[in-house]
Amino acid sequence: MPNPSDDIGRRIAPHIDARWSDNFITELRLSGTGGTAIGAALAEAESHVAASGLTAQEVFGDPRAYAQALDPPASADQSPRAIAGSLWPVLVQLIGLWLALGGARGLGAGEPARFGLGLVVLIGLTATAPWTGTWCLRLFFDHPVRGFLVWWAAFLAVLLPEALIPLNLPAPAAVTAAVGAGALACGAVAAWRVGRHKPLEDPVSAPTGYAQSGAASHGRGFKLAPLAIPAAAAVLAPIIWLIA
Amino acid sequence: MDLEEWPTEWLRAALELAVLGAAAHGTTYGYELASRLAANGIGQIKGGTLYPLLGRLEREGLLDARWGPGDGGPGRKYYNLTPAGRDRLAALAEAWRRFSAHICELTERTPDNA
Repeated sequence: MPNPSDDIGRRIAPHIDARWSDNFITELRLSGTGGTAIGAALAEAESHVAASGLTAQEVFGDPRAYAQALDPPASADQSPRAIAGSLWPVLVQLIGLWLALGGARGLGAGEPARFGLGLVVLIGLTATAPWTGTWCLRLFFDHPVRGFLVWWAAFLAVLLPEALIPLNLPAPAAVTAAVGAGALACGAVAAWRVGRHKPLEDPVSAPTGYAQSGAASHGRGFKLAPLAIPAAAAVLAPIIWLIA
Repeated sequence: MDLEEWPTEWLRAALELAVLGAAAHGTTYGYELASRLAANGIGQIKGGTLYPLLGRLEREGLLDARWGPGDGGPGRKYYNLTPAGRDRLAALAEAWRRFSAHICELTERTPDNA
């Protein structure tokens, strides 16, 4: 989800109403505009508003219509192909999670590995996210209630099959759990390397030469993101092992 | 007719020429361009109309843009007409003169005015 409430938005455009700039930034994000181009568009709007003494709404009208009218070129870094290139370690980690939990369930029950179908759905949803993500975000932005319903439908599509539809594959539980743990580790390392060289985040940044310069920095949360799925596995696997 | 009430269709057709003409007076920025257009009788052009046009002219290489400091405020995006922009301005201005001459001729020689 784009984060229009970045401090950098306020720093670039202190004279512009926060709600207007949030909607403006979000619309540009959903159009695939890069952080640098968004910062430049916001800075130019700020420059006009500061000079005229009028509000952004008075000068530019509806922020979303204005963002669409600007029609800035889409950033190559925001294309589905580029996002998919940054997302594959997450897929590896999810497959690792699926294997680790299936192995833990089998180990707990003293049987071969037993998998849930829900994580397979989640892996499928994640794999298609680069192409469907923008549609989902726009749905949330345009129709929050419908977006909320779609989110719940996706949540249930993962949760219910995971709980109710077991997949019995003839795989040794210990080996499955070990392969899963390996995939989780490899995925975490890959996510860290990909994030370091080609971060998925593209923070809004002020143009060079603009007084209120600076760019949103990646917080600790972003740096720890590669460990989120392994951490979930570390919590869930013992629980599943105990209750299996 | 009130200068600020030109038919929208006229403004839409002539705005590129007007903006190129206003930019030909030297380095300028969005707010100043809008003020120049207003001072020359074109009317108050909304930012929602002006800036998308400036962006298109920049992408087409007719305007050159760079960021610089403003007067006591935040930075500004300054625009300059490029050589291609000057050529485009000259061509459009000549076409506009011929077009408006035809319109004038047509409307001034009506049977009522003859």
